[in-house]
Amino acid sequence: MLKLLHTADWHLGRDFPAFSEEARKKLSRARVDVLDQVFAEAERNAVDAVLCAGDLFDDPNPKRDFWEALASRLQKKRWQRPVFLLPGNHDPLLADGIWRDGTFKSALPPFVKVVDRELEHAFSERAVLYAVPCRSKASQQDPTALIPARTAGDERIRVGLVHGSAFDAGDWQTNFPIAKDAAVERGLDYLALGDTHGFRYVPADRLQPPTLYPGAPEPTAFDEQDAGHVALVFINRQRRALVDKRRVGHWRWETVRAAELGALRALAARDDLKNRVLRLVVEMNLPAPEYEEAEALLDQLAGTEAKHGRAGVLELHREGLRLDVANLGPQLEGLPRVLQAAARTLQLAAGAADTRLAAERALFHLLRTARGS
Amino acid sequence: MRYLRLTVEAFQGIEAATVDFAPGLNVLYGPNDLGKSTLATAIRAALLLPVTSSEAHAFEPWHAGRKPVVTLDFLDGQGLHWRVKKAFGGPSGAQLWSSNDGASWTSAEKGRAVDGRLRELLPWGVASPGGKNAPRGMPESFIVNALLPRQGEVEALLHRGLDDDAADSGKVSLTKALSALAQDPLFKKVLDRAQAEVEKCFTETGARKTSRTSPLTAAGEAVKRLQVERDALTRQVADAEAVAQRASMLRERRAELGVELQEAREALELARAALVVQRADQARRAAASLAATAEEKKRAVEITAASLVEAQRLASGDGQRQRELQRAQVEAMLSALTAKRRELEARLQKIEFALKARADLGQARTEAQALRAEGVQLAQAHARAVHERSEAQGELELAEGIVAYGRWRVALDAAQAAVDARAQAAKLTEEAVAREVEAQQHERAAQAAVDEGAMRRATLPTQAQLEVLERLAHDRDVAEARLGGGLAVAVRPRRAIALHAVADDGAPLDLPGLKAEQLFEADRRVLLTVGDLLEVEITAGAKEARRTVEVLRRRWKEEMLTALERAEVASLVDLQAAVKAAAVFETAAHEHRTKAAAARSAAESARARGALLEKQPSGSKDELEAKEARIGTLPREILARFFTSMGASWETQCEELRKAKGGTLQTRRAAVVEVEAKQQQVRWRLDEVGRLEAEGAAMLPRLLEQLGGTDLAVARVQSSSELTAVVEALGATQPEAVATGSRDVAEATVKEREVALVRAQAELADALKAAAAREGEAKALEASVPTEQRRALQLRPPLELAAAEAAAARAEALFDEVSAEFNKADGALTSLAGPMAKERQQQLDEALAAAREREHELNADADAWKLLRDALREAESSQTAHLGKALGGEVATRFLALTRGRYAGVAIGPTLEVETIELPGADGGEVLASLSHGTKDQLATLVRLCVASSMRSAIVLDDQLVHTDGARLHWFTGVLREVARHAQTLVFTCRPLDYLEATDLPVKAPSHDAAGVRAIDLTRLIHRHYALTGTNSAGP
Repeated sequence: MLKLLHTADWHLGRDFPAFSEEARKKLSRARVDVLDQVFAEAERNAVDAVLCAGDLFDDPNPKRDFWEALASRLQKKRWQRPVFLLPGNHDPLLADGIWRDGTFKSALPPFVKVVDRELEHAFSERAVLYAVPCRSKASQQDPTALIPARTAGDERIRVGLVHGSAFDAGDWQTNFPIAKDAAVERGLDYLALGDTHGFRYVPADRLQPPTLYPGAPEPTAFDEQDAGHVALVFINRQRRALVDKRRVGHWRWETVRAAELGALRALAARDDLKNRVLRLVVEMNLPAPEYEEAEALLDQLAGTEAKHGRAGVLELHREGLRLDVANLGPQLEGLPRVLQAAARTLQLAAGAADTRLAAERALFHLLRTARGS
Repeated sequence: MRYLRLTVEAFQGIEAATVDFAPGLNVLYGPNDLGKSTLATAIRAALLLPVTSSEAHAFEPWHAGRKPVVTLDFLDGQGLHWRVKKAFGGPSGAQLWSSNDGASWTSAEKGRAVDGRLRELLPWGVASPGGKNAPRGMPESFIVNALLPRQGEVEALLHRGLDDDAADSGKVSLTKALSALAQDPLFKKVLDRAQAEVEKCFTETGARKTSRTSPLTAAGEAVKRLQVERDALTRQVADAEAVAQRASMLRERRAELGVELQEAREALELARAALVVQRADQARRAAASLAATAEEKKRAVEITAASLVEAQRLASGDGQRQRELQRAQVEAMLSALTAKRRELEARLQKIEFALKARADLGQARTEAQALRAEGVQLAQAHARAVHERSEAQGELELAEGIVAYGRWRVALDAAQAAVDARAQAAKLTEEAVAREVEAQQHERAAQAAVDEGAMRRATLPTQAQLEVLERLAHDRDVAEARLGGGLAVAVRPRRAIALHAVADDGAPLDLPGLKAEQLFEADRRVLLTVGDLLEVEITAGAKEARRTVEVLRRRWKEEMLTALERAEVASLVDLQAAVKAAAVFETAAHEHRTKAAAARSAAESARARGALLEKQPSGSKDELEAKEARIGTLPREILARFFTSMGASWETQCEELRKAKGGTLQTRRAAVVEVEAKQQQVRWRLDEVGRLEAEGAAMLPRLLEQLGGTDLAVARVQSSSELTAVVEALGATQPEAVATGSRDVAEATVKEREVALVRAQAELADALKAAAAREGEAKALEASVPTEQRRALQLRPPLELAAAEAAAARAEALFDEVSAEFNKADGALTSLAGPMAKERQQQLDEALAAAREREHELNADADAWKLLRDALREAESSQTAHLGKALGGEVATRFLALTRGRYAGVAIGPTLEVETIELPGADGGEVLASLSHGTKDQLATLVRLCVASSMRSAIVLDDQLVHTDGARLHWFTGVLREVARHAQTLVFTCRPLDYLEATDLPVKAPSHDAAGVRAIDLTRLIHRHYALTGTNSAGP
């Protein structure tokens, strides 16, 4: 029985420029933190080897913080099991890249093997690994073409480790295109891939021999399907592979559309928002008191300078949140007449398309400031 | 503004008086005629009347020659002390001092300038002295009337507005005061907040700030920065996309060209093979040709040998007699030839004559034949024309027949349709019954499927339970796999044992008499049983993993095995199949129900259609028979075919057909007449030619008979040829006759033929050798072409070698070129890193969108605050520009409170003139004119108090509210105390207890202060020119 942990696409050092500074830090740090979960999974299952299938850094020259974080975590391990670090298209094997950096390499413990050439590594007499690194950021060459095909009489377990896109070859966007049936053609019992960030088999309906993307252990975008996992792979003497999908990611990226206040209340009441990167699209037209409540709920979710938000990270789209300015009577009652007169002026302005948004907000500011909140 | 001290000397009835005023409410009391109003007038005079005014004469005491002098100390709005002293009656009698502390004074103005300065200090709408609109006497204005009213001047205030003032300073100052009033604390809070927010983002002129401190600038710069980065990336991505697209295209192109190159190479090989085969064929053909030549040479050798033998025989001595005989024969031949020439010349003449006669006869016969043929054609044309005429006649009849048939057929079809409809209705009824039966069958089948499904499901897990079991199976497999680390168990028996071993899930191994060491290898588990003595189970894996497996195995037994047993299946796969099969019954039931519903629906539909068909009407039998009779004798099937082909418009078509056929018939008849005329002309010419033919026919047999009946042309050629041959023979025979019989000639002939024989034999040998050589060459070439190429050549024609070579070279060059281009493009791709740039571009797109949204949000918020600030200012301005609105609310509120809701409202105009008093109710009218004097007085007092309050300026009320009842006066006291908190109030009254408690009155001192109210007993302060009769002014 050969036991492997297959992971890929850590993207250490990735920035998230669409978010606030604080959120960027959180999400960037999460990519490092998840490594603890990945390595713990390897230990817990006493795997024979850890295969890291490329794009481990987001850039060929990551900041020191990131490679040190990786090296220090590995240094703490007293492992014999090999850990294979494969250069991907984000962190290819360049002359001035991280994989050739002596400081980094010397910081890695002996059991870590950087795949800095086409590699054939025997796990045992019965099992062998073929690994092919990316030597550039882009290419139209299939890396599996460099893996020798199984020869007659070779009964060993053969595992492939490459990084590339196993999508339609006709698509020009394919980078390092990998033939869908490469595992079969090269006589591999398991083909460990890296590149796409969701957990998926290629092709989706063929489970044997598995050709698998484990996906990024920590998701990086809203549109990723089934990210946040590693694959635990067991290959028995009959060379049949069993794959177990293990969740390791902390963050879950979720998009919510709130079209009525009830939905917003329900969202704010959820107790699972701490580890959510939440894209919230608010589309509702509310009378003043409810508008104020909606603003308060959004404040709760987003947080303020004094208080953390309920959502771990919030990307708020609030253009659709509108104040119903037609019926402000009760809210204006008791206000000085001059404020009432100003409110009426703003109500009129809210009727014109070009001043609608500003007038609605101005009314909201008036009411909120007047009420001292 | 508030008053501090008033000193009066020789002013009307007062000889001297000095009064100190307190802030707040000052109730100055004294009996009638004490001089209270004089003091009020003195204040007015000090502040408003020039010392030279003629009106000042009224101030002079009538019993003394002194000039009236008034000195008034007051504080302005900024807290500066002022003292004005006016000695009326002289141009230099006015002086103005100022002081910061009220102790040390500095002269500010003197003489005429004093009043001008006072107008500035007290901007009450009074024109400056000497200027335009300057008053001649005591000036009037709205504020003067409000703050320093003359006693009993009620109407003046209610009907006068600020527009009636001589100067607009009053309006300005009151507007300013009311603006400050409008600055309600809440309003101010909102305005201040809005202003603060606006100042963050906008300059004073309303433009957006561009400084770095503005949040809009920061947001805009973030957008610009991202935009620049994104644009650069977009270019990079575009470049990379172009290169990647090119590389991808080149990769595919290279693959295609690889195939093409292979094909071109194969074609070249084939062309080369074809060439070899062709050369082999050529060699073989050449060999055959050489063989034929050799054969000819062989025959030539034989002939030459024979002629040599003949020549040798003639040249010998035995040939002399034969040579003489030959000479006699030649001379006889010469004579015969001469006779033959004459005979042939005579025969040729006869042949020429006979030929001419035959030509004439032939011409006559040809013409006769042509005429007969024309006659035949005309006869045919006639027959055709007659036929066509007859046909046209027939077609006309047919058209009429179709009409009749059609009418009959329509009637018949209608009748038949009615019959068919009834039959169809019957069928539909049957079908309905059948479909109902079918529906019942489906319903029964559905029920059966439901029952079967339910029965099967009873022993099967639900889908959710099955998913749990599937998960359990996966978890167990994973847990078992996690145990796996590899096991090697060595068994070394000390004596022979019977061992039963199982490794993992493999087949059991029985070793009955094991003596030697035995090694068992497994991934996770080895089970060893030693006879009936011992069982050893060895399981790999960490403790936690083993526990997990145990739990899962237990669960497997409890859950999976139970489920399998219950379902009576052997494995999870079987169970899945069983669940799927049970689901099939549900699907089948649904399908049966659907079909049953469809069958019922079809049955209903069939019944409905049957009912409709049964109602279809049919025609009468007699009518149908009459129509059939009109058809005539034409075959029905023909009519039916035409009728059918015409379709629905048969009747129209028939009418058109009838017209057309009538016209055709006329044309055909004319054609018949024309043909008959031509036939007559042909018959006449034929008669003439027949005569000529008879003459020729009689003469020609005679000539032929003379010539021997042979073919004339052949005879002519033969005779001419014979004649030529005879003439030539004559020419040749004459010299031969001379030479024949010479021996030398015969010997020369022998020698000549011997040489020829040797040459022919040599040529034969050469020809045979060459043929053999080419045959060998052909065989060698054929052997050099592989069998498959020979087969391919049989299947398709090869290219020309040159063309194939050119094509292969082209294909190779193209492949190399494209390969080089692909390598170049792929190399370029590696440096451009397009996919990464694209990913980064997508990230930046999102970041840019977010930054733009932030910028938009900030801008929208900034615009909102600006709009709010502007709206607040506009509202403020609007409120204060209409002074009536600014002041009216307070006046109205107090008036309504005073009158306890008796009136609905008070409308005060933009310049503070009281316009209407509204009554309650929808049709409330205006009642200002009909108000009582007391109410008007109260209303006027309220207006005055509100003006004073808003201007924070002292007010003098001289015996106001004298017509007010006790209750209202009490209410007013409260108002006065409230107003006095902001504006000093001097109340001159003869009834102090209307405003004060008795305990508030001074006992020994002239004044008494208590809780913001100063009671001033004027009897103790005013010294009149004559004594008053009563001293206690506190009494009623």
